[in-house]
Amino acid sequence: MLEAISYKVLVDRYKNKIFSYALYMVKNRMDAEDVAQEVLIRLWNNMGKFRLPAAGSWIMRTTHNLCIDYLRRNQVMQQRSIFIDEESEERIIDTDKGNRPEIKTQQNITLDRIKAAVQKLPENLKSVFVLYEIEGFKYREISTTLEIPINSVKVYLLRARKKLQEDLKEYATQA
Amino acid sequence: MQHKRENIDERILEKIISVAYNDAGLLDKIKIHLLARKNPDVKKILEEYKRTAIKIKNIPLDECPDSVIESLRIQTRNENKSLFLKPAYIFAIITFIISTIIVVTLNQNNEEKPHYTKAEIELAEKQVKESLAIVNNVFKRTETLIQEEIFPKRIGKPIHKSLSIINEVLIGG
Repeated sequence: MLEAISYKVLVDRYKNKIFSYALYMVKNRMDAEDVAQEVLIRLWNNMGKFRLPAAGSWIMRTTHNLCIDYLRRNQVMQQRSIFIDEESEERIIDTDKGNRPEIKTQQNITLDRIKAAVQKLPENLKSVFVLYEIEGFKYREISTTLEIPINSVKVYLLRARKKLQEDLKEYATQA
Repeated sequence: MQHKRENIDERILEKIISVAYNDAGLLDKIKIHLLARKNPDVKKILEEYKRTAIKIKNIPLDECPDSVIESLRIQTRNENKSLFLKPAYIFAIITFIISTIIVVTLNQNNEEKPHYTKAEIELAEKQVKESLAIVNNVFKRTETLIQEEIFPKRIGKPIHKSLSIINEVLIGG
């Protein structure tokens, strides 16, 4: 009973983080859904085998490992882009309903451009960058999750920021 | 921008990036802002990184589709039921409760009786006899007191006196 309650709390807290991380890593909604489902099933099967305060690291490490497995199994998936996903297309089409469609469209395109730039980052830089900047994890948590030293986390984060800036410099100067 | 960066020390660039992403220390923040006032290249790089940082901080988390959670809910619910309805679990719980009750009951019945020495028993008997003798003595004294003192003096005498008065009244009448 207690396990079921703890599980529900963990799912509510981490489901979006798991899905977002998987989406950045595998770059495909269907695969990201599969990863998220697999992670949550493993979480259910392993409830009670880890301390609850360490659940976040356990969940994200499992997510990361499953994403890497997916990428290794299907290299073709790496070529896909988030621009292809249905949600992005719908957002651009639906902008006529908004008050300022041209601004909304521009915002969505910028957001998608940034997401695509993040996805283009090398895996090691991307995992650190997404966990820190988008998912809000601390250096220590990322170090535990990805099983790398804290200094490496800091170095990867810096490299990711520089690389992203290079990719987005046109937008940075235009905006 | 690449040309400008070449003129800026790599360590300074790292600090500029940290300041732009708002995770630098207070001293570094002051240092970089002062440097940005003096050096327009530093200021430009700082602003460019800040713009990107703001956009990145505003990226929302993608929402996990309901279908994932729904399919998960069905699976875990089924497992929950089987966990609580498994006959083996019920049998184990009932066995545990019954055995606990039996053990507690047996422990209560098997409480050890105290052992006394012969001298203690003799002493106890002696004390009981003495107590009974005292009680016997008290009863005898009470009997004597009732027979010799209370009946003749406190009860017999007033009754005798009352009867005499009644006789006198009747004979006199």
